[in-house]
Amino acid sequence: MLGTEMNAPAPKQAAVSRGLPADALGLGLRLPHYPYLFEHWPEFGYFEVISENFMGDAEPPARHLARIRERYSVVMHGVGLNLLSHEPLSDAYLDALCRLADKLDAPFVSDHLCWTGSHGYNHHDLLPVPYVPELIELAAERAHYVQQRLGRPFGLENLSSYVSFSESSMSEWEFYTRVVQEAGCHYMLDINNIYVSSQNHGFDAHSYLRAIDYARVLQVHLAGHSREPDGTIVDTHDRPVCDEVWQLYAAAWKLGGPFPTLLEWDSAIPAMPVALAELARASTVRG
Amino acid sequence: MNRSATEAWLADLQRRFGELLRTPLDASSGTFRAQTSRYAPPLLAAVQDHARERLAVYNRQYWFRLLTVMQTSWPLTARLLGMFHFNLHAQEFLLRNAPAHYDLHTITLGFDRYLADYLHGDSIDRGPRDPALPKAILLEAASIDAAFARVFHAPPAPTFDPRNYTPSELAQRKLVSSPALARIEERWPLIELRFALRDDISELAAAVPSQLTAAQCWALFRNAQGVANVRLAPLQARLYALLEHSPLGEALAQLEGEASPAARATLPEQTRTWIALGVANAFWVGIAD
Repeated sequence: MLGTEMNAPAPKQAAVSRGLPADALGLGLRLPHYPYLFEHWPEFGYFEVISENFMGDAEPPARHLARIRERYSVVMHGVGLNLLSHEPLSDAYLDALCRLADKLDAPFVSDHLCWTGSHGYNHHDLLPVPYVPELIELAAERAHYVQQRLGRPFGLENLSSYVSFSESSMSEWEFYTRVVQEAGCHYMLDINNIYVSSQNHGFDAHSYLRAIDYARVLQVHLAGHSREPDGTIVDTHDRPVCDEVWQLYAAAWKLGGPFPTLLEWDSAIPAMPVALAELARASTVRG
Repeated sequence: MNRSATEAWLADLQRRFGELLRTPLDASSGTFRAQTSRYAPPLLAAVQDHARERLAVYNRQYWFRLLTVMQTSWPLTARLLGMFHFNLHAQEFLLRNAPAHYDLHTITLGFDRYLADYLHGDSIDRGPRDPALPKAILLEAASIDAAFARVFHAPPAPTFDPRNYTPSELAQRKLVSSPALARIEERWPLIELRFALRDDISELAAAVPSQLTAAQCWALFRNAQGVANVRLAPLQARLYALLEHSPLGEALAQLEGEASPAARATLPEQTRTWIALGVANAFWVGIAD
């Protein structure tokens, strides 16, 4: 066990307006889905796009997304905000993010409680920091600013991580909840990431779930992961959700459902009906 | 810590972490492995439990993500080299041009120039199983991959409708090419190879096709699915090339002058067809002022 456990969450506030049905089921939109999607237009809740895939000038991605937006709600999930860098947030990035959010009329936007680059480099990975009080203020100020710029709910996602730092003086969930509270933003709660990090660092995933204020949860992510030969679990999003993660999902639903639920599948992506069948398991699991 | 001290501490941590991420993978064993012995002691000391192994996950993840993007953006180049040798070159390129922008596509830009500038000799090693690859084929393949990417990533362009112009304007003013158009001349049948390899997930080096008896030209342009291509007849390719520099009237006159007597008989009808094809597929976005 790392750091300190938080006690029970604060009493529920009025649930955030997510712009989606509270129990909606969504799928991460990926390129291999397009042929099936454009032929069948299956009925289901909503899509989530990786923001950066649609923030450039290229015309084909924008055209495809416009067709999809005509039929589905689309929420945005970023991987490049770089919230916890020692460097300031990029205004050019935020301008492009806001333009896309406005174009899609995205119900909400999310990114990660992490850093992705520094010293002029962009590492294109979601990188951890030590969990220390000094970084709470920095992260909260920036998350608040991003939400203001966007003019719509902004959610922070918890990471999958493979290292923990000796300088950390609090648990990940204490750090996470305090940033969200102080920023006045929201949780984009990734259940698979909680499981991955709990296994890699030896903490109790249920303690994590109990610390969350579910009234501020915009959405929950589910995904598959893989295990390295040395036992490290890596957040690969390349397979179905495992039983342990489904159990955590059911526990989260019991603690704070309903909330929109989204399946991410980013590698070894199956045919869309297979992904939708996996997503539909959520309804069964939560009862 | 106050804010500036916090940011300085964070900057130091992130500098060390970034250096670790960019530590090149070692391929001397025939597979790409993290060189954990090169990790800096201060960062190893800052990480709890299994520091080398866990940091190696990030180090590998950094490189595998970037190499995958490179393979996707340079598919023909990658398959002609074979994935292992392609990754060697891509890693070297990325060490010299580390990513700086949030758009992953930008990491791929300039790899064709890197190959042209840094590969020495007339042929490229592909390991003991495959014959060396002539450098000229590799550079042609890279230019084709670059053209596909350039067409795909071009911004939206206005639609050109000749009916909006008088015949005199069309004859006397130059057509403006679309940024989403590329004309390619190839000496090996590489565009067909690129399509043939599209659904082939092998990582082995592809067989090198025989050189064409004469160079052939293609136009790459955008359509509803992404990037489409059409093979061009020699005079058709020449017409499109002339139109890049000359008004339509001049281009047609010059083409007629260059055509053989036999070809000249059918040229008026053919040029109408070729221009109609160009208009239908948005080869041009308007006419110059």
